[in-house]
Amino acid sequence: MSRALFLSPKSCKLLLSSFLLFCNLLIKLILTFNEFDISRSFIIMEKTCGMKIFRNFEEILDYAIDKEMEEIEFYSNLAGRMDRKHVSVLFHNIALEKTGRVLQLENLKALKAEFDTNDVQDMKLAGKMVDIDHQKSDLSYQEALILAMKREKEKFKFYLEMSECAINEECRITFLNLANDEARQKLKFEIEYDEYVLIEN
Amino acid sequence: MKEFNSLDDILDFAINEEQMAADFYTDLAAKMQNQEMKEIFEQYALEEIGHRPKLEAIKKGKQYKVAEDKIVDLKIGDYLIDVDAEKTNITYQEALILAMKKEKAAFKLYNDLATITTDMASKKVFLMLAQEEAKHKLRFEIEYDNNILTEN
Repeated sequence: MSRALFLSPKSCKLLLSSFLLFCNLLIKLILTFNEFDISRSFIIMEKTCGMKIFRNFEEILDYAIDKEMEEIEFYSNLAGRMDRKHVSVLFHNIALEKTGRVLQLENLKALKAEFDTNDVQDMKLAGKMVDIDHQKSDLSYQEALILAMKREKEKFKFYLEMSECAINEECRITFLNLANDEARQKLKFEIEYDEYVLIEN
Repeated sequence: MKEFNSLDDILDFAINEEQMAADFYTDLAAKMQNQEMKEIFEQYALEEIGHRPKLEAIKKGKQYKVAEDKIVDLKIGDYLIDVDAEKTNITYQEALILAMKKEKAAFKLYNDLATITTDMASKKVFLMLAQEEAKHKLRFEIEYDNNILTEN
């Protein structure tokens, strides 16, 4: 008789963390054998076991810019699909704000900012950014808001951690401001959720 | 106070709420064993204290202009949080929930004030204050996700 194996959420989490740690060590080992300067590289581990390796700070900024671009597309798309005008405007405005943020990140690249490489290596960035199915075409209004809140929270953590790694003051402040922007946007979605979704249900 | 009758009423309410939040965080910081959260509560208490002079400057400056009918639209109940004053031994979980509610209410207030004001300098201050409250709220939420939800 076959016996199903049940794991509690805690065990699953532990298993996943161990696996990610193992992947991290394996990559480091491979890179070391290939005479890659690991001390200068930054590793971003993602929940789906995808792993990103950045050789310099500029590549992290490019990653952040790519994420912002994805979100501009995501929010613009959502804005076009929302029946309620004020929600459509909310998503549209956030897409616009993110466009401004791309410019800020581009400016940081020009600054040639310095980062504490040890701190950056400790970061487990963007953990949940990829496990959200934003390609789903028939998102309900409630799902769209939940998705948006999750994304904003993860971006907040991302920018906050980047600010902690920054040595250059201007760069640190820019990242803090970006984190605060994400917090504000998250809370706007949350209030919208409280007022319209929770009340309607 | 049942309703806002003037701009000064609103600003006095906000100043009082800031002081209460600062006291609340200072008190929580003193009870914290986790050093990181202790520092966060201390830092946020300082930031809340720092909001007071900004609000007082707006009040003294009298440059803050808004139509009377807009003031009536602001309902004090939307920005008040029910707190059981009798309860003295709140848990960490309850403290975080209360802190998140307070921050959300403060965010709403400043955001609404920023929306109705026509004076650009005051609008900027209100937006900055709203942004800071949003940051506090989200930081507490992350602490809640990491330490309360995982424990339960």
